[in-house]
Formats: sequence, C-alpha cells, structure tokens
Amino acid sequence: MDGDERALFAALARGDRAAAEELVERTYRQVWALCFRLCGDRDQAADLAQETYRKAWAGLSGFAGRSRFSTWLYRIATNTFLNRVRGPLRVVPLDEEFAATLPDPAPGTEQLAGEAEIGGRLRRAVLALKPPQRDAVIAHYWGDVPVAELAAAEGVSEVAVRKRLRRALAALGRALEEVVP
Amino acid sequence: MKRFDENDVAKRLGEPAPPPPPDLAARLKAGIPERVEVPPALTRPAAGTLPFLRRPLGRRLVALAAVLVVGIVANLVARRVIRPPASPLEVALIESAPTPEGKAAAPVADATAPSLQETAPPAQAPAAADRLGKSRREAAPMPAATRPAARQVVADAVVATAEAPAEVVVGGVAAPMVARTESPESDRLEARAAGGAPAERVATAQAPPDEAAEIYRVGGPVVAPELERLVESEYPEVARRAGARGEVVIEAVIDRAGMVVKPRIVRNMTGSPECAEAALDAVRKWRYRPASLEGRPVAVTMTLTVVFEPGRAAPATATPTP
Repeated sequence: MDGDERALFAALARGDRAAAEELVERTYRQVWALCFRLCGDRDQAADLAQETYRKAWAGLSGFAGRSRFSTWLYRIATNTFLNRVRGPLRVVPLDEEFAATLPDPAPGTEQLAGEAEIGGRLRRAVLALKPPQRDAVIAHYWGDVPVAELAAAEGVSEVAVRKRLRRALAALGRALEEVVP
Repeated sequence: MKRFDENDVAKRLGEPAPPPPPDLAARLKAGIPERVEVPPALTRPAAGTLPFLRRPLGRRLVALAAVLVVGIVANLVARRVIRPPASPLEVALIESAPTPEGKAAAPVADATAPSLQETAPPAQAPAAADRLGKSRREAAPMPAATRPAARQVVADAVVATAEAPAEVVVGGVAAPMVARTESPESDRLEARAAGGAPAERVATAQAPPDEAAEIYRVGGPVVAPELERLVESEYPEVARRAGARGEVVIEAVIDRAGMVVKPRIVRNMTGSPECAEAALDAVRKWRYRPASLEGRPVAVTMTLTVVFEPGRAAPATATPTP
C-alpha cells in the first residue's frame, strides 16, 4: 500500500467520508471489470461489486495493508462470487452441470463455435482451475494485479506465481481446444 | 482442431471488460457506512520497509550474492591476484634496454632450457614467456624511447633456487624518473636489514649535495641504467611453509654508483613480511650500470618486482616506475 492510500485511510479514520469516496473512485472500475469477467452479466456484476464494497467496509479491520486496497478488493470480489455459484466445500467442476449453474445464458448449439461461446467457455475453464492457478489468473489477468504484488500477497515467490500462470494458461488452452473445431 | 497457445489464452483473458454502469460509482459511494473502523496499521507510515526488504526473499538473496561476487572480483583485481596463468617455464623475465655493447644479452643458461632465451630469433621464443612479458609491460608501460628492444628470460635451471641463491648477470632496464618519496615502512625495513648494504648509504652520503638530491627521469637525454647483476631472493622457509606466494613490488633509487638505494616496499602480495624482507635484501645486492645524462652518471628511480612462487626459483623483474 502506498503512502497516498495510507493518507486516505488516515483521513477516513478521522471521519472524513470524502476519503472513502476517493478510495471507491480509484478502484471501482477495476472491481467492476473483475466482477463482470467472473459472472459475465452486467447486472450481476454491479450487484457483486456492491456486495464487495459492503464486505470491505465491514471487514476493513482485517486489512493489514500489506497490499494495495484494490488487491484486497479483488480477493473479496472473487470469494464473494465463488460463494454465490457453489456450495460450501464444493469444487468447481468443468462439466455441463456446473455450467448450468453459472449466470451465463445457455448458448444454443449453433453458437458453440462463436466468439461469445469461447469467452464463456474460457470463463468457466478459469473457474474450474485448481484454486492456486485460478486465483492467480483472476487476480493477474482480470484484476490487473502485478505478479510482484500477487506474490507478496500470497506469500510466495514471483517465480511460483509465474509458474502457476503458465500452467493455468496451458490448461485453459487445452480446455478451449475441446470446443473449437 | 484450432490450437490455443499460451499467448492466445492470455490475449483472450486480457480482453477489456465493458464500461461499468454510469450510476455504479454513486451506488457504491452511497453504500459507504457512516462510520468505518480503520485499523491503526493502515494509518501510520510503513516502518522498516525499505524497498529492498519488500522484495521477495529469493530476489534479496540474489541481489546480495551479486553484490558479494562483484566485491570479491573487484578486490582480487585491485590486489592483482587475478592475472594470466604462468607456466612452469615462466621462471624469470627480465626486461632489458638496448645496450651499445650488447651486454644485456646472454644470460647464463644451460642446455636444459635453451628456448627460453629471447635473444634467440622470435620464432624460438616461448609463447608463455612472451605472454608474461606482455602482461607486465601493460601493467607498467614504458616510454617508447626507453622501451627495451630485447628481453631476457632466465631459465629455471639457471636462476638461483630459493635455498641456494645465486647471482645472475642480466640486462638492465630503462626507468623513467620520478621523485622518490620516503616512507616510515621503508626506513624501518631498511633499518632491520642494516649492514646488508652499507655501500648504498655511503654512496648517497658522499655524493655532492646538489647532484645527490637530483633524480632524473629516463628518456630524452637521460640514458636508462642497465642491470648488470641480479641476485635472486631467498624464499624464506617460514613463508614457503605458510604457502605465501605472489609479488613484492619495490620502489628504489638507482644511484650514481649503480647501487640500489633505499628500497621501499610498494606492495606485498605475498602477505608475508619475511618475503618482503628477503626481497629487500636481494634487491640491495643488485648492481646497475648507472643512468647517465650527457655522459655523467645520474640517479633514477625504478620499480623492482620479486615474485615468490612455491616450487620454483624466485624470479625478479625490473620495470620502470610509472
């Protein structure tokens, strides 16, 4: 977390509401983009973003400041979304049953080869990755979190993060090849 | 089947999302609670978080290792420990200036190492000895006017061994002139070896005050001195057992009598004071045909190098003082 963010939190601690609005202004576009990529629906993404900020303000005491505020929000948004689409302790599968649970309009057979289907398939494939790879992909590609910051937030080396990303991309490529002739 | 490599997937993952709804920011700001509990850790400046310490441990270790390696290499280079490898035959290298009588040539060498004499045609000169000679010339470049036309390499069998030093007549050296600087260390070392070279002091003391104080630079009208007698240094047994090796660089004045006066240790790479003292004792016994200016002898300074290498004789070189 940089000094500018710390100054905003210091102002917020003094009761300055404008500081909180500034924090929202700085981060909501990225949070929205992440939420949309996660769920693929504008309305649900907006709801997800609101839920993310509500949880963030309520649980701000759990934010240690080791990463940027936006990085912390990405994690909240991701967990909120995953908790919505799956039950407790349920591993996200990559099958038709799981696909039906996602808020993605069921595509017709004629659309399977289309770009929209590739995007939907890619999104579902990301969610079906192993948790470390999935979180890395979501944070880095959808949350725009740099590898170094992601490594610091996860407590692993940058090499480990890059390895996760490489493996994830390879798995996603294989998943896309299954549906695109 | 269409192939999706990592770049394709990364590109699709990075496709931009549509812009957020126009009222989203207002809705989010409206959702800010009246009171937000901010932990103290977020309000105070980060303490003790230098950029270096914020890096991952692996990167920190790599940076430390790099700094360490650079430091070690710089230290070795500064101490001249790193240098071209010498072959066993590179025993002694004497750089000599051209002499009218050709006295610089003809070191005493036996048949066991005839090819080491550079007085032979260049084709017979050993490449290793030439390499060593080049490195030393580069370390202490000589003026073109005083650069030697020939070098002499004294074979291992000829040069005195550490246990049984012998005198070897070799060529002299051209030496540019600089003002001599006194140092307590050189005086002390010379005092410890007092009696070894009484002639130097006598010669210096008896010289006329004006001429004794004059020190000339070799070149132009000043003709370089010629090394007429080289006495190999002893290799102190204590230093040999301790594995001391390397060069002892000495700066000295070659006075008007051709004697080595007040040698001063410039650098002792052996780390052994015994080696330094042995080298001082040896160079005091060196004799030169003195440098001359318009036919009269003058004093000049020179840099003398004595090399200590276990298992071989201790060669010595004389190079100009830079």
